Amino acid sequence: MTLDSRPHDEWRALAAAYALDALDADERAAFEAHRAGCAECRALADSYAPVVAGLGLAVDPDQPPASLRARTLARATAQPRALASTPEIRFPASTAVAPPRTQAGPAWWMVGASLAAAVALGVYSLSLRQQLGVLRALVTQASAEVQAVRAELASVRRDSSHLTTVVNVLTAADVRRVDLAGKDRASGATARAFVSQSRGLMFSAEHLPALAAGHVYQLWVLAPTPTSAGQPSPISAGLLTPGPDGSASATLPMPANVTLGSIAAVAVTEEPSPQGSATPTMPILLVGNAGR
Amino acid sequence: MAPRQSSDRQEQDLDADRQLVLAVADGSSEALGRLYDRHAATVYALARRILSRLEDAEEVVQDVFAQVWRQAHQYRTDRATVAGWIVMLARTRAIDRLRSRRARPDEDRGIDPAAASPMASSGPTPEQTVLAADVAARVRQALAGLPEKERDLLELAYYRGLTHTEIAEQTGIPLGTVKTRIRSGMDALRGALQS
Repeated sequence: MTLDSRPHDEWRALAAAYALDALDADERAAFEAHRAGCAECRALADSYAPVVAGLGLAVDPDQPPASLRARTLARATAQPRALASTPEIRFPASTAVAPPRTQAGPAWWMVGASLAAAVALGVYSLSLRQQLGVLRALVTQASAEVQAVRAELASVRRDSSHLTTVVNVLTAADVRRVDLAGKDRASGATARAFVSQSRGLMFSAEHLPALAAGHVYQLWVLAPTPTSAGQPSPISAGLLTPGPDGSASATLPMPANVTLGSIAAVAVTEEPSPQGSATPTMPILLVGNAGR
Repeated sequence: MAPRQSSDRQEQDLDADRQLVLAVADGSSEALGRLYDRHAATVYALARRILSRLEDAEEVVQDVFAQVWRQAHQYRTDRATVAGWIVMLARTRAIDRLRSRRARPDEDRGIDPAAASPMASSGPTPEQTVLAADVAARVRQALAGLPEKERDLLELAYYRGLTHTEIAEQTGIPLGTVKTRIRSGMDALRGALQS
């Protein structure tokens, strides 16, 4: 069965997921090929654009750090206004082909000259093709190098920004260290949290057990809440997925409405949903007293 | 606020955004700064919702406004509002970064502090434009009206960047059911925004 032979309803059924970017790569490519020639499916996929935008707008706004504005504007306005999609290749004037001259009438020597010219042009054409091939290869190679440099630069920027955040937390005047010990089936795991009211929280863990499919680790701080009558209550600080070696680290802001002095402990649980849970699922796998 | 006043203010907001994009297309860095002031909090929040690390979210903000600077002349008013255009750029950038990170499992794994909170848990803030707040309120209301099974899968696709197949693998729900629920949820949200 070829892709084009699918019933049209099957294509229509893919439009919402296409707009959501939830199709697998092969399905996406097939849909794009169909969409290119089907105005109805184009319009249908476009009709979901307000939903995709709306889901983004539905997230509660969060003011970025004040310093980000200047960095963002400086980086943006340093870029060229419009990037050409394909570089224009100009050939040197000396390689331009001269226009043919008009001739009054053929003569025997002209036939020979024409043959010679045809051979010369053939050779010249071949030479031009070879030059074009070389130029194309150079452009391809240069593009690949630019891409590699960009990727490396992005990686370095990320690492640099991450390290800056880590240093900010570790050097904060109010930083507090909390050592977490593993329990039960996580008894081999260790973790450490550095908490600062002003700079946020840095967390790192080693030897975390592998998670069951669809599960996630969730980090909690235990602190009084407005409804807990002064008693420490678990407040989610975020979700955590360890690497294959069981290690994980991250920086994150202090959970809302939590003050450093009120934190009694930091704990980690395994939650049965990839989105985490509103309350911890027992047992607690790692816990550390904040020494309040 | 009376509905008419609200509608007028929304239209003023839309127009202000469009004028700013036109000015950015003409090379006004000041206009880019004003667009940043109006929309950076939304971009940053969405990026944080999708990505683990704060610095990644900051990178997304920088990428998005660099893209706005480069492509302002390509913005088409008949395709999306400026806020919608910018938020879609943000979502694409954040998901690309998330998938790229997944493809490199040796990199640092992170925590998503926002992921544990339910989608759109509280009301709009003064920082949002009136229009964005209106759309946000309608999406929130529509989301609240969705069956939980559909809402959960939409969240996995939208905020975690998971495909149909990946969602089926991670949740154990049959692939056909995943497709049906996502489509149904998207249809319901589209209907709510059109009404």
